[in-house]
Amino acid sequence: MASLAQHIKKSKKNNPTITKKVDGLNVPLAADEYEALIKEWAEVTYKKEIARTVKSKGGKHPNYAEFRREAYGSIGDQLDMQYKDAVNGTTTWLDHIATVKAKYKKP
Amino acid sequence: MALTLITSKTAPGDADSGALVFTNGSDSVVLDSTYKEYQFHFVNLHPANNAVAISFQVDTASNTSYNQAIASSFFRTKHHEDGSAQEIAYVASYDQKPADQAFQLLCNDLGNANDESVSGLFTLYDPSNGTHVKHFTSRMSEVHESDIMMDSFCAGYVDTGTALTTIKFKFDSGNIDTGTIYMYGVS
Repeated sequence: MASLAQHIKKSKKNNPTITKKVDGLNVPLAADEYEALIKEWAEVTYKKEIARTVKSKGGKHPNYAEFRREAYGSIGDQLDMQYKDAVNGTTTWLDHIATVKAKYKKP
Repeated sequence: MALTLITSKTAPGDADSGALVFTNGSDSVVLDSTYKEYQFHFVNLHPANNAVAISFQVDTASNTSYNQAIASSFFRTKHHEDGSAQEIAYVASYDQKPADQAFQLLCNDLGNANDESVSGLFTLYDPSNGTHVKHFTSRMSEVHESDIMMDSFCAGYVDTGTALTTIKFKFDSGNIDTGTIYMYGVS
C-alpha cells in the first residue's frame, strides 16, 4: 500500500496545475494553496486505499458493516446455503457468516 | 415541463480550485426563485485522479464555507464489464446525517483512464424557499476504476430553511480534467 507521501507525489503528477478564478480570470494557485489542496486530495485517496486494502485482506475499519454486507452475499444465496445445510446436516451458512465476521472486525 | 438552458461550465477552463461553481448572479447563473426546480446535466466528467467521486455542497448568501447540513441516502447497482457479477447495494459510508456537513458524494470510485468518466442528472428543488428544506435527487452512470458499470442513486435534502445561492461540484480528490455541467431551469 502506498504511503501518504506517495499519494501526494502521485496527486502532484496528476494535477500539475490547479487554477482559481480571480475577477473572472484563471490564475494558478499560490504555492502554499497548491500544496494544501494537493495534501487534502492525497489524504482522500490514501484513506480510500486503506479501505480497499481492508476490504481485500480483512481487518478493522469503520466501514466494516458495509464490507460484511457485501461479503455475506445475496439473501437468495444465503437461503440456498441454509436449505442445503438443513438437507445435508452441514454448517456451510454458519461457517460462511463466521468467516465474514472474523475477516471484517468492528474497530 | 420546459427546460431553459441557463448556462454551462466546462473543465478545465471554468474550474475554480478543481471545482465547477454555480453562484446566483455570477457568470450568467440564475439560482433563485425564477425556477422551482433546477437540473444539472453532467456530461463526461473525467477526473485527474483515480478512484474518485463527484460531489456537491451548497451555500447561502451569509455562509461561504460549503458545510451545510445534509440528510441523504445512497444506493447503487453495478455490473462488471466482464459479466462476472451484478449487485444492488445500499452504501452506508456514502450517506449523510445533518451533523456531517460534508460534501455529498454522488458516485463511487470513478476511474481516470482515458475512456472513463461519469455522466448523469442532478436536480435541486426550490433552492430559494425560505421555509422548507431543499430537496435534491441524483442519478449517475460511471465507469468504476475496476471496469464496472455503476448506476448510483442519491437523494436527500439540505437541512436549512434559508435560501441557497450557490452550488459547488467537485471530485473528492483532484481536478476535473475535462467535462461539462449544463444548468437548466425547469418551468
